[in-house]
Amino acid sequence: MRFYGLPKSDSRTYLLGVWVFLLLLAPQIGWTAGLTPAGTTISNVATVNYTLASLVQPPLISAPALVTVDELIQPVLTWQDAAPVSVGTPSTNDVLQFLLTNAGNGQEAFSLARTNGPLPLPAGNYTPLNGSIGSIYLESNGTPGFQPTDTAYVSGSNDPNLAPNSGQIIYVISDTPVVANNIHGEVKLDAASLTPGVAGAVPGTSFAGLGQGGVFAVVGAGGGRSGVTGSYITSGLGVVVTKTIVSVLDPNNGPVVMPGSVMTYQISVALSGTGTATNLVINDPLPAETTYLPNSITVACNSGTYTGGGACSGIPIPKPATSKTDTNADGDFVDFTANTVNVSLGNVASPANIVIQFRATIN
Amino acid sequence: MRISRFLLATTLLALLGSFTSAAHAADAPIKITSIAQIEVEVIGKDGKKTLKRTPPEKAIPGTEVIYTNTFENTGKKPADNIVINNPIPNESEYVAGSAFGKDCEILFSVDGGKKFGHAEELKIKEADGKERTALAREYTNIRWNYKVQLGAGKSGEVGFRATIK
Repeated sequence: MRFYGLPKSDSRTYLLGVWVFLLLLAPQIGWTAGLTPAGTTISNVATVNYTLASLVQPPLISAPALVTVDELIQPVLTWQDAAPVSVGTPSTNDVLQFLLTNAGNGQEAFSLARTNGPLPLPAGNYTPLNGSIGSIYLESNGTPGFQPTDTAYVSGSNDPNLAPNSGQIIYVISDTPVVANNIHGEVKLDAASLTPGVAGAVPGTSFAGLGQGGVFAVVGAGGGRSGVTGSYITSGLGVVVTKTIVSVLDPNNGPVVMPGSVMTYQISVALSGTGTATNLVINDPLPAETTYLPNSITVACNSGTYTGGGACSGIPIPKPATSKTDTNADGDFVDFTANTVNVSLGNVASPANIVIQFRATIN
Repeated sequence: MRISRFLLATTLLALLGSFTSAAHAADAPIKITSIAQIEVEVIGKDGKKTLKRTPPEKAIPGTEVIYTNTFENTGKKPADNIVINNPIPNESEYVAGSAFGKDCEILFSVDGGKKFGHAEELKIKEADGKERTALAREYTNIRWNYKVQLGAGKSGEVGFRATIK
């Protein structure tokens, strides 16, 4: 059972050892009808009919008047989060989501760059830091939202090369230093055409031969580039997720990690400070070299206030470790699908502590 | 030897063919040409901005292209009942009110030239069966009915503007 909901101001994305993220409603990307592709030849032909001395004459057709469509270079960047992304102080690897769209009419590659705390820095803002796992990622694994298996962006190596009217989701990953609560931190993302001379040129400037297929490249309204700022907001809510191995039992009842050993994993979720994590979902994909032991997940709801459905919602707290089943549809908000442990916790008000355990065999 | 004779014969035939077709076009007393231009703003020495028509370089989606069709009577007799048909070019949208032509009745079509009418007469049937007046960008063809005689040696000009989609 998973929760899908619109992000609220205190929705957060956490990346701490295991994949933990809020499943936000994937933004719907609606494309408009495409522009005429660069290189297209437009042909105009006129036909004349007439009579001479009342005799109808054969119609005459003009030679075609031809127009070759040149390439308009026009990237458009938009920030996709509905509201400032809530972060702890400190916290690591919080995600802003952007969409780069090629609104021109030719295949075009764009470089990406981020600016932390773009000037002028509003009074009271903090300056986010590049994420410790990387500063910019490109959506690549087909699963909405950021996962570490998406591709880290490397300028000059995997610059987005977009067909007209297509887009690339980009994740900007930031760490948050120790700063005050309830202040904003901004990151500006810029995309710039990689066609030489285009980025920063006066709109309407043209470059002979540099458009797709050798036509003119014409600089669009944005000067061949686009930049947009996304923002974080610090909240008093701190969330720490830790994953540990609490026991190993080898086939000889010893503590040796070897094929056949049964590992008991523990994911501890601790919320501190004030605030509510909305639609908190813990996803932990198992390594390929382990085999999950069916129905081995337990959830202990040690403290916290839970609403909106979830494994700890609607039951007296504290609730000691309780076995859960792996089925998705049984209403216990815990399942094991696609080799991944999924635990939905609903809306969790701080302070809270949840301990999840499960077992797997080393192959 | 045979080969060279054959070559000579075919060359002569080809020449004859081209002469024939050229002669045919040359024989027709009416000529029609179509040109495409764009307007660019030019700032003169006095600082005044003027619009200058140039060949359609640097044409991108959104660019308005001016198409001008010139018809000329190079014969010795006057021509009557001149009708010029011009489908809106591919990847283009007709610009409302842009069709021009002196002494012409200008008609449009929204069905690829099956039916022609004045702008207000053209209807589009919606999916729900209701009819509405067609938008200029839905026009598919333009027709100019030249209402006067075109005397020997005279010419006329018709045209329109279309935006590249």
